[in-house]
Amino acid sequence: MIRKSTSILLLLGAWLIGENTSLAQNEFFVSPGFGLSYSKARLDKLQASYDSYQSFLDQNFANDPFTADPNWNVTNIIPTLSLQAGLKMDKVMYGVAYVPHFMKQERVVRRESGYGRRFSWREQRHDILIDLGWSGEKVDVYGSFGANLVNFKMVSSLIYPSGLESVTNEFDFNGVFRLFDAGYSVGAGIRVKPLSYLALDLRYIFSSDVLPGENNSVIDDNSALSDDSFARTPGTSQYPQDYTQPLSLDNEINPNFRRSYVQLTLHYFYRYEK
Amino acid sequence: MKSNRNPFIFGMFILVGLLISSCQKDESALHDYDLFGRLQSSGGTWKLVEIQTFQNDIPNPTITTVVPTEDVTYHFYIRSLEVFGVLIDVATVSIYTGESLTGLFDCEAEKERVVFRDGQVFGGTVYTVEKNKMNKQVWNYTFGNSTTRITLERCNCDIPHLGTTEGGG
Repeated sequence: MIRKSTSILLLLGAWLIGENTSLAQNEFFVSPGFGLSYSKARLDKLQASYDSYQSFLDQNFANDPFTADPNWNVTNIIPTLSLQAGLKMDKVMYGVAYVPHFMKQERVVRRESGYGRRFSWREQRHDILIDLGWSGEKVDVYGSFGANLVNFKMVSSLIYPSGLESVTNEFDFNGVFRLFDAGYSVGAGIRVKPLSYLALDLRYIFSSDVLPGENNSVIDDNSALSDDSFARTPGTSQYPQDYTQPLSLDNEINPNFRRSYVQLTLHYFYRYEK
Repeated sequence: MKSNRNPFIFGMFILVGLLISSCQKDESALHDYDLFGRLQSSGGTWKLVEIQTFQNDIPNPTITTVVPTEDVTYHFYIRSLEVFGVLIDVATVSIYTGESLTGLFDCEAEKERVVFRDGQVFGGTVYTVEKNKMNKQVWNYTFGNSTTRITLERCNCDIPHLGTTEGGG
């Protein structure tokens, strides 16, 4: 779904730019880049779930003490990619930017008996933005708006004393829990072009967890982190918000995983003047 | 600065690259049967080369290894079924022992887990994926304190021809 949407948007952007390049004295650019992002996320529901798992162990395995990894990281620095294409007309530039971010982190809780549990959290975020701004000879300043498409995945596996890890349906806490969510994205940036083929892009993106109007929708958004495999025991498909409570369709995590970035990328700037 | 090169060629290379990257990627109700595409590619046949069993509730368990004496072939493919007059595609695995068909299952194959489902609404045989390589798969099946580890290797084998008898004219 994401791949198709991204391909369609990029094709649409390329077509729009192609249409416009024939109009006047324009500069067309294509600009792949790489760099680093500092990001901060809201993962409070995930953290509460992790805390409740430790409470569950306290209550049910009091004679089997455990050690647990620290809390989930809400900030991180990750390598990042960016693909931009756009058009500069006099002092105005507009463009399309595709900015993917892939993040993964793990937490392990291990009991003295040798049993334990590994939680692997993966977030694949695709921001697709329209940039609009002022363009000078050496500097561009722009604002951005668009959408983000995000795939979340939590793999919860049991660790055995032998070292084996299992996600089989023998235990209901095991599973591969997924969620797709979309939201709006806004941002701003500044691009410095010291050389004709090189640019340094500093961009801020706020990647929201809701689409415009979603909070006022008359239809409930009932998406939740869930494991839809047919192999699961009925009624246990939701990733539990609270491990101390029975597994049910109500004990679930609805997405609120918004994230913001400050991203610095070095761009190869392919220009074409017409 | 004026360039004689056409930027659309450059742009199209990127777009075509993105489109090609979607090849062999399945999408399904699970959003992401991401392993099945790999399993069914290049003919979709895999040979069972090794079975290991060990006790999972002790550190450093003794591992018993068995090499099948008879060819066991797994064939992954998409099967079309008619349900209430509508054709649906089902990810499927057929298992052949020698020349005999010994299993036919619906298959959910993800990077972390593979499920063989024999018509059940809920349940099935669930394997944890330990190793996922282009030509080699290692999966674990756990029940209680016993674990069975199977190793499959891509073989590009011929699918056994099942003898049938035609009864009509």
